[in-house]
Amino acid sequence: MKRPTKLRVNGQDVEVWIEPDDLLLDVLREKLGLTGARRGCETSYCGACSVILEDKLVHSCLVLAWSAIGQEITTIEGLEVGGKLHPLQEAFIQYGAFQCGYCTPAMILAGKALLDENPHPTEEEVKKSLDGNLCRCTGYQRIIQAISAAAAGKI
Amino acid sequence: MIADYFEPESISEVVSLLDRFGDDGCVVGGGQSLLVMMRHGLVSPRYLVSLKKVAGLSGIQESPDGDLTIGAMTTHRDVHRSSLLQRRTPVLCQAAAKVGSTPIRNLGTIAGNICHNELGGDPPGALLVLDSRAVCVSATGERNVPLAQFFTGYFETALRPGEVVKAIEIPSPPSDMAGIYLKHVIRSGDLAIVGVAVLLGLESDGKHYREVRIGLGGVAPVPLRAHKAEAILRGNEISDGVLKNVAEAVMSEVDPITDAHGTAEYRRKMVAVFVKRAIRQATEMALQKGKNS
Repeated sequence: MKRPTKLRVNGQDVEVWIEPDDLLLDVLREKLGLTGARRGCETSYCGACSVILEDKLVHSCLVLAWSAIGQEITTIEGLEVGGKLHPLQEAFIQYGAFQCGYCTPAMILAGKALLDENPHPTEEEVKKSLDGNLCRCTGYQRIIQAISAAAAGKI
Repeated sequence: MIADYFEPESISEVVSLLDRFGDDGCVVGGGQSLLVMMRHGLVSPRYLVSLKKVAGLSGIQESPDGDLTIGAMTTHRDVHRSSLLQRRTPVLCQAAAKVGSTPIRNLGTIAGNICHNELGGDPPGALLVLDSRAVCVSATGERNVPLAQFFTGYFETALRPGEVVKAIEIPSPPSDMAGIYLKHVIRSGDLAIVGVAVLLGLESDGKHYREVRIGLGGVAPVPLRAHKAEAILRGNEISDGVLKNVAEAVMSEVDPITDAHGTAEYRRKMVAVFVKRAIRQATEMALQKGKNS
């Protein structure tokens, strides 16, 4: 049964029609045009679809859209404020922390979820926070460096 | 194709919906296993009944007697970070910390994990050594199922149609035993090739095992206790010779399969290695505990 509902995405209430089997990933991409959440494995291995639900990183391919009603959803599109990039986004540019870029939005959000909770993580904690996100290009070093640099306020 | 999705606010509404929908209905907790199964076309429920808004299913309670109750919607993250559980059941916190990856632990629940019963899950071994029970509710009543009887086959449990796990109960965990969970895996996010949970207490002389419980995952159709190996250790002297006998007993108790992650033979060899390692480490921890108490 299709129902109109409101989702809270990047600080704004948006009206959207949702089917019972719509995944949050589908709604973000197909109905709201927020394509920063990438479609990857759709079985929780790759993490390319990661978004932040309330304050936690989740795989949006494993979240029913209806279950996200009433919760704050943050996608990569919500990080830029007034034309100014988030320090993590700046750090990824400065450190060249991406190649093909497919995993990048999810990596940045993984970094944000970590730093919002633990502003001064150790390198081990940064690595651990990326355990649900695969990158097949970079070898992770630059990603870890970028997140650590953003945490250290070096951006 | 899901026809409808429900978010009832009480457990009685949950079981009445499950009763109404029969085989077409399915309960969803964190969804981290169910949605993967649906994606693969292995299950295709028409009606989903979510536990999300049911009052009182999240969180961990301790009774005056020290018994612990973990609500069905408690996530792996919550279990891992609970200071109460870190104090009372560190073996379970270690297992919860090793489930999947951060995003999975953020939403996935401990009750969902045992109901899914996938080969190589982490919490079951730890729950088995803690003698845990699943509190199962249906439209006709409530029953407690010891975890030792809960797992019945690959992806199969003793849960009956229309039943839902409301909580996991752990009878007052012994404070004088040391617990450890070791996971053998190639990539951290994978299911365990071998998962070993050990809960171990020593005699006051610090030279003999008093009580040892060994819970295994990934090495048989269901998670299991290594009862033969436990019996060899109980009352015996701490020595490498005993561990050799224990390793042989454990290898005879498991019934592993061959899959993409490892052959049956490899799993059998590795379970011996990891059981010995876990017992050695738990023995050290128990000796330290003895010194500090």
